[in-house]
Amino acid sequence: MGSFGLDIGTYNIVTAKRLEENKIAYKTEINAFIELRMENPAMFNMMRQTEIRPGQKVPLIEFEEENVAYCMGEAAVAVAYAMPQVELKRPMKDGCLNPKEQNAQQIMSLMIHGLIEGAKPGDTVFYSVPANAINEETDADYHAKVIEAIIKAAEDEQGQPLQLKTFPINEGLALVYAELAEKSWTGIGISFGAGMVNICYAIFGAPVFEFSLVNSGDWIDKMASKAIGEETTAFVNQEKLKTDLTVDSQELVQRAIKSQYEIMIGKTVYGIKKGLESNANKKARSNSPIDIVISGGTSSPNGFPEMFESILTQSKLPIQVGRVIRPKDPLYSVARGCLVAAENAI
Amino acid sequence: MPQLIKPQSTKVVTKDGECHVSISLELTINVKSDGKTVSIVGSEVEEAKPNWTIQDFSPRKKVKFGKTIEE
Repeated sequence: MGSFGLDIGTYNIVTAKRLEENKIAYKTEINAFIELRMENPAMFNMMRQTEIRPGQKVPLIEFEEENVAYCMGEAAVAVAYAMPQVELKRPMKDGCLNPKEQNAQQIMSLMIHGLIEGAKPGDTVFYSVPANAINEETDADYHAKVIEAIIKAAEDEQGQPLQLKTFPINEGLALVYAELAEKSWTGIGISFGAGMVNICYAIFGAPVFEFSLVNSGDWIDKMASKAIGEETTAFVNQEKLKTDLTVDSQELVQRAIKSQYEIMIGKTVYGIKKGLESNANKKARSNSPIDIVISGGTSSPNGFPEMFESILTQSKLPIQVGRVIRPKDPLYSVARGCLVAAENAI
Repeated sequence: MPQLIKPQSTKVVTKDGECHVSISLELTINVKSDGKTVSIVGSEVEEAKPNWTIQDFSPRKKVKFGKTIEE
């Protein structure tokens, strides 16, 4: 029986599968889509023939009876960027399914089934889920149930149910599994996604506490855009690619971005401190320094680990902190951790 | 006219600039009629917890999707 890891993020969906020679194949796509009315058959036919990458046509799904087509993933982002009148839609918001997108769940189903293509009957799939947020009302349990139903509905090429074995795993815990094997899977995993920051403190692979914060990458874009008077987040989203959090830039947009990062990291570290203090006499004793893994797309800017360590030091956590680790591939870590869990479950 | 109001729970959620306020109250109404006093105490109405509605995700269509990287 095979194994899959599946990281379902607000901005990226990533699968991980072990290959021979201990390599891992990651399949990734952007979790977004656009809706196109089918009034212009010529446009659709041309779009259908276009390749988004060598050997792969634009992912376009048509529902003739509803007179609508959906373009998904990176292609959708490219079209929305070029055509401002087309709205880029996101099936997930703040780490969970977006209730305002009526078709979000069916689109997510198409995406996930496309990404786990190649799964064999009876394979084991561990999929990432957030913890409920402590700063906003979320329904992580419902989100996890819907994702489970989507995976279980997957079929093979002949239309036969794959009957995949599915298990949810907290996103922060998946990071611990991915990066802290040499520390007996003991440490803190923090996934800074687009919609949420997910945190899990684990000892010997078992979660001690886990929580999430609904203020991450998308929130930084939104707040920094407000601060500089931009109506949309597109400009800030692009500027973030140039951000260096160790530099005191003279550019207003970079200062705004840096300021929001400080706030986000500050809230995250505060939450961890509270979690450790409330568990100090119950479960969270440790005589060894605790390593912290920081990952996720929002942790990508230059200088992020330095800013995080600086705020961590100032906060005086009630534990001895070991290393702060940022994986070399922060986009794939959660999926890899899910895969590790799936392989250990067989 | 309610003569005794006990605020049972108040929840304020601020999101995206909107403010949603939810207040549930327990009311006690005393009515006098022909010298007799009748009290009516409103009981807290429990909100029925909705059952989760899960759609049918049987694949209607299939699409080639995703960028593959090996490490």
